[in-house]
Amino acid sequence: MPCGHQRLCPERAWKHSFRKSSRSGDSVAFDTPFCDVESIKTVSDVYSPVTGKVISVNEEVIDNPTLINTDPYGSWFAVIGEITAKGELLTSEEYDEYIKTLK
Amino acid sequence: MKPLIVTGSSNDPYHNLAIEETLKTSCGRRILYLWQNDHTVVIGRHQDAVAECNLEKMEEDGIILAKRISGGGAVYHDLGNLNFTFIAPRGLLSVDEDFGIISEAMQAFGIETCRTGNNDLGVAVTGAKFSGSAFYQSGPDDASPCFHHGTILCSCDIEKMALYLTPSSAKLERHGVQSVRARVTNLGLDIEAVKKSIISVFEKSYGESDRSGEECADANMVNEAKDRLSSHDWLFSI
Repeated sequence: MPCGHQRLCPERAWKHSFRKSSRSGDSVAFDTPFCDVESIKTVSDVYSPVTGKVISVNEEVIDNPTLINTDPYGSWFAVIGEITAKGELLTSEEYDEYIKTLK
Repeated sequence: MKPLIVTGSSNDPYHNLAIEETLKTSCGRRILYLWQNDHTVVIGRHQDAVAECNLEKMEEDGIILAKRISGGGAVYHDLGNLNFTFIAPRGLLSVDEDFGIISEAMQAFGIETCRTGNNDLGVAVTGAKFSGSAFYQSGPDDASPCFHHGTILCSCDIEKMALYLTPSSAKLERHGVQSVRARVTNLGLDIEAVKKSIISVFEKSYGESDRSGEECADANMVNEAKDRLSSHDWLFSI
């Protein structure tokens, strides 16, 4: 499963200047940080929606983090496989409905 | 629960950053932490020390290199600089309110401030920056702890600042986040008076607060954080 930022965050977060990620082979756990992003002097942890293992990391986004702003869904951070647990995930339609409820 | 005001007593950057991180981790209420580092260059979480500062000159002069967990660029600290940290659950922390408190605290000395650059504070008359801020947020919800910290230049050695924050080779391939140069100024104020003023405005805003020295931070957590924050791996990996 490719994991990254959803569409809303990049639109709100101006400009991503850097991010740091887990490496291939690392184990990640549901609801714990698996990478972080920096935007205008703010560092934020990014939480994993699943428990599993990092299969690959998107090096292109590490080299050019502003892709997160221009193509959030294409700019996945890591592909996580061997999934053993996951949180409640939304479909794309449910997510569209959800962000309408935000300010 | 009442807010908490913590005044640091050490000038060791690794110790102070460890206290800050521990206060953040165990935060269930609003905290103001005031602290000072002596002879230190602090770089942002995603910065490359080699590209951002003059490590040779720093070593020659006994300047400590530290790296914080928040973002942004490199800064120089000495005892002419005061650091503030506003820690709170995310739902309570407001950067605008934090800046309001610092600005009002400065008004007590007749200094009008303005927002400048990327979330920094300057002296209104000249626009020169006296305070730089950075931010860290963690956790999935509004109860998750986060912080806003920053510097206040009172009587810092600005010549030394320029010396240490200029990399020894301009031809280096630069990695990570690059520092942004700004025209800076000292306020020429007494640090203790500035502390009192900030505390007074903080309590005016959020009510009478508990007071503590840094011993309120869990010693085991502080030691663990200190070891990690002073490790070569942390300082030199980007």
